[in-house]
Amino acid sequence: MWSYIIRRFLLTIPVIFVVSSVTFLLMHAIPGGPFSEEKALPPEIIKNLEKKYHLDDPLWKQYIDYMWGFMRFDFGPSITYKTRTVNDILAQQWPPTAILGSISFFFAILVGVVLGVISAVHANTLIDYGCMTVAVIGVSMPNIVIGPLLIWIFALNLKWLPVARWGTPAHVVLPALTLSAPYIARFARFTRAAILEVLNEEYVRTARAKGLSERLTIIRHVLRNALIPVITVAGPAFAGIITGSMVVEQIFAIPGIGKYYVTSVNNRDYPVIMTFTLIFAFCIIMMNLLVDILYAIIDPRIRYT
Amino acid sequence: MPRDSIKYRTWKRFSRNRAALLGLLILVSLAILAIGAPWIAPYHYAEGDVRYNFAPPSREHWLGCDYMGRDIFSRLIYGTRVSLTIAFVSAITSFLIGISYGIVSGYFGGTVDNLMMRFVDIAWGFPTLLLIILMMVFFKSSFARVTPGTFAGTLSAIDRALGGMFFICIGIGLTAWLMIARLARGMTLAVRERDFVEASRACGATGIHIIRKHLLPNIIGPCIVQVTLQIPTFILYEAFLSFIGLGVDPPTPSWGMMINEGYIAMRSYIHVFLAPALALSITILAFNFVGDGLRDALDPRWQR
Amino acid sequence: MQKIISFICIGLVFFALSVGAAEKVLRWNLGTEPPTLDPALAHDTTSLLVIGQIFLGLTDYNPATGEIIGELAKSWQVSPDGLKWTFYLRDDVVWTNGRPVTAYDVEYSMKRMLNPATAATPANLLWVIKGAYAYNTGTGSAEDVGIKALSDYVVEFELDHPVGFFAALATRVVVPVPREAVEKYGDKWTEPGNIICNGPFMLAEWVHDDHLVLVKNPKYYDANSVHLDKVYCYMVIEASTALAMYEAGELDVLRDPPTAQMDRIKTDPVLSKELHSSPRLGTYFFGFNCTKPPFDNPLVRKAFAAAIDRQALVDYILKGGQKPALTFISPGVPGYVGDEGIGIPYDPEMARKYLADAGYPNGQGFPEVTLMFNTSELHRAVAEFAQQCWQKVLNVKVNLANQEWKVYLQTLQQDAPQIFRLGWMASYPDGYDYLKRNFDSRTPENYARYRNPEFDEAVDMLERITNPEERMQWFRKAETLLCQVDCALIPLYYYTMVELTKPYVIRDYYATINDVPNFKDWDLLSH
Repeated sequence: MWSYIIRRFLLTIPVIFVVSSVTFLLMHAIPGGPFSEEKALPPEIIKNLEKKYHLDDPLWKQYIDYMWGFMRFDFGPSITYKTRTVNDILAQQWPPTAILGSISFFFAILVGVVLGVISAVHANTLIDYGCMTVAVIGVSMPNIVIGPLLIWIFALNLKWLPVARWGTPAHVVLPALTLSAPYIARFARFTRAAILEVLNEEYVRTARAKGLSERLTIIRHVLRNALIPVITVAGPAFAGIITGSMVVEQIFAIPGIGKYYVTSVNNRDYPVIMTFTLIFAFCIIMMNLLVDILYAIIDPRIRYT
Repeated sequence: MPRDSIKYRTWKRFSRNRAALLGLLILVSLAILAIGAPWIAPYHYAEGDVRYNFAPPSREHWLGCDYMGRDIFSRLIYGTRVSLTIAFVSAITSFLIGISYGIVSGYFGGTVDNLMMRFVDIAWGFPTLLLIILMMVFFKSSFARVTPGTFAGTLSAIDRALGGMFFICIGIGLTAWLMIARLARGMTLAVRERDFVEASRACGATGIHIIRKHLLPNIIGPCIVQVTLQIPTFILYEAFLSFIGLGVDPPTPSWGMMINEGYIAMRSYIHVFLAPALALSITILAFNFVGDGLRDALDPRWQR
Repeated sequence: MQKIISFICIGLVFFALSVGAAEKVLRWNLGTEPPTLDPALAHDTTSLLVIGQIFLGLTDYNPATGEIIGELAKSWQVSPDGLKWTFYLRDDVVWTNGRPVTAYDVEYSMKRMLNPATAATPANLLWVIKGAYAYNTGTGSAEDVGIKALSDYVVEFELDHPVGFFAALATRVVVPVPREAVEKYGDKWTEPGNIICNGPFMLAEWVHDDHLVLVKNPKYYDANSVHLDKVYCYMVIEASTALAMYEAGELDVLRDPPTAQMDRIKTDPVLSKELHSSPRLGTYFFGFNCTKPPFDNPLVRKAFAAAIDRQALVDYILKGGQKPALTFISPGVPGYVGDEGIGIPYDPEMARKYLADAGYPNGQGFPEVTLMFNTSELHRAVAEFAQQCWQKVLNVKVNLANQEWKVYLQTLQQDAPQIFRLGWMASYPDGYDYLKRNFDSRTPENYARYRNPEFDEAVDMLERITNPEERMQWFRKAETLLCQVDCALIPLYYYTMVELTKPYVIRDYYATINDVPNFKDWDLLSH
């Protein structure tokens, strides 16, 4: 068990290495530097700027300098924002993304599982069809559709919620709904399928024959086995919510990491691009690792090599 | 079609799933629209008169006009070309790359398999969307000014001819093959040990023969299902890329870009947003239905 | 006793309330986080807007009259050979820490700006000073630079060659910084608490990416004329969100409302009265790469220029009441000659004739050409409009291509496409900036590759001559060559600033360099 965990953990190191190199190379391969903002600058001035930010060092040296700093949690200066370091920017921007992401994630699991259970228990009735239809619609509407639609209905017309920005709990509702919608649907469908499968299994029939109440049957036997697909979906859901936050933060003008990512690519703010990509990748990898570990804990059969 | 073949039974099961049939119907209609766009659409997608910008739906313009005075209905129809092309080309690219990679890895096994799968594991850790964004910026910037006649120049010309779709397909295809590769490799490993393969080898069959006759037919089905299930994601990626401006070149109509234009004008002119939003959602819904239907129909449990 | 105390308390509360109520706070939207507040590093409009409120320059541009007036400098004089400029500073300007602003501050700041380690971005405007270029590119030393503080309040600049408009240059670039803050805090000297200002306002609070607050500087030498107590700057990027805030009463001024909302705003009974278009010092144009066929033929360029209906562009696409442009230098900048009949106006008949004379009657045989622009909603709309015009009038097909801004700049530098979209905002108040930086054959930024020795001669004259009437003659000559005879570009329109302002804001609408509003002249009525 422990060797498995350690092995998986060790695998993350080459992944981070590959992610950082590919990002670094791709980033520098993109033409256009960080310095021409509104007007072109004379070449002599650009030379001075490159010297200041060590962009005239050979590429491999820049890479090593950055990775060395990264390991000491020193992410370098921001090239666009002259008075701030990437650490400053990160410290400022991560709370909204983290809050929005976690709320969306847990909300998706909660609502999704509950919906799935209700559907499964009332299988093949109107309730079931209704829930599943809603689920499929949730999966089909991309967040660039759901987001503006929710804004239009609830913020512009009904005026129940604010249009955009961040600050109060009311500001969290619409973006969280937008981010979690496709995953609520997925959790619901998987949970329903898993529960239905288990409900027909032998040992459930045995429990029922023994006279166990319906509720206890469900809770004790069914749910535990139904957890596996939930964990299966949890990994990609987490990754999806993180990357989806880029678009949602843009639509709702939320000052988080996601919104700033596209801007930094356009600005060629190299330290920011590297740091954000690596942090995103790290979160996703950790989550996948957690999912694999949970798998191994819950189902002793799954201890594959 | 022999009454007992897998294909026939699959189709029968598929057609019993009403949602899947509906999805298939929608997709076929979209394909017709895409192919027949120049004859079906009342206006050309780039044609417009600026004086009618944001015009509400009327008899001349069934869904109204966008910010440049172009007919939204026509642009929606041409937009099917973009979405369907990207969906299929990306799907085919990732399918071909994935299945070849997976089969090679699974067939040779041992160290080769180990290395190849390590590579997949490592590539798996990369947040796909971030990679696509970086790649798109790279493609769009580098290939924008190349000398004609070189390899880069040819690629750039292809891209421009396709209205900017070429690089998106490559970008998406390059990131999506991982799942197929894993699947193909897993199944290759399983099938490889089966008796009939052993028997075949005992008769002296070559590797290629085994792959063709025994592996491929068993693997293709689930891989196709997997790819079909991924298509909605491709369409979403393209829509998202176009939404943030890294997608097709204007004036090529992409639903994602139209949604972006609609979102900007949403407060005053909701019709500009609703039309492409509905089109995109219905298309993805259709693909989801078809994919689910295919997966259920091909479920091995039914084939006992 | 208790009653007296309670009376006093109530009185104090009322007093506080009334003082608080009387505090004039202007709520403004910066749009984005300013990349820097260091005058030596700033070259974007957001940073310059804030810097313009908290730091003083040697000279200033009076937007009402278009003249250069003194700010830190009371007066100045030029030596007969035009090489030595001596500025006499005011003696009543102090930094917020009490120390007077002296000529030594000016010398220190300018040498810091030229120091290659600082990598200052507007430094190229100082290269006219003797020894400046060498020092800035690393081959010279600070002692050889021709800037000297002759006494506490007299500073002398020694130039490389006579420059008639040096005072205009000084408005933009000679902005002293406080030595003690820079040396003590390094990169962080502009953070609130570290920063030392000398302008009408000072920086009180800066929450990055969220807001910043400017308060009235009591030590400003003319503090009595400043009415506003505070300027609260939001940083909302999305124009539609900012508009929502303005309508909800959370913003007092909104610059550049989203185009998609303009129709609604113009027909709204309240908003339409608060809408105002004012001129800006900038021109939007299409340039031609004059070395690429078919645009190496001036007749083709003239045909394309005459085919664009600028008024329709303004009315239907831009909707901001912009002024169509026929010449390059914008109104309000010395050198503007747009109302004198120079340039090529919209004339479909003439356009077709030019094209026929060039050998492409009715567009027959015309090769495929490309118009490139940098990615943006607005530029795309303008490009598509032009595409439509050329198709309708000349029957020619023009392809559109767009690139992201940074890549676009590189493309222009290396190999500009046949037609490219560009805009130019005045860096300092003189038309020489427009002509020299864009179309002089010796400038690297001459993407059009325009080469006319007569034009270059006119530009050189404009640099050296000081007499305004003589300069206007040369401006006329230059613009005639540029826009009419050779038609190296199609000026499209002069930028306007479209703004919504609440009726209780008392303000001016003058066009300023880099659109920096003069908050020190604004006032708020109680509302």
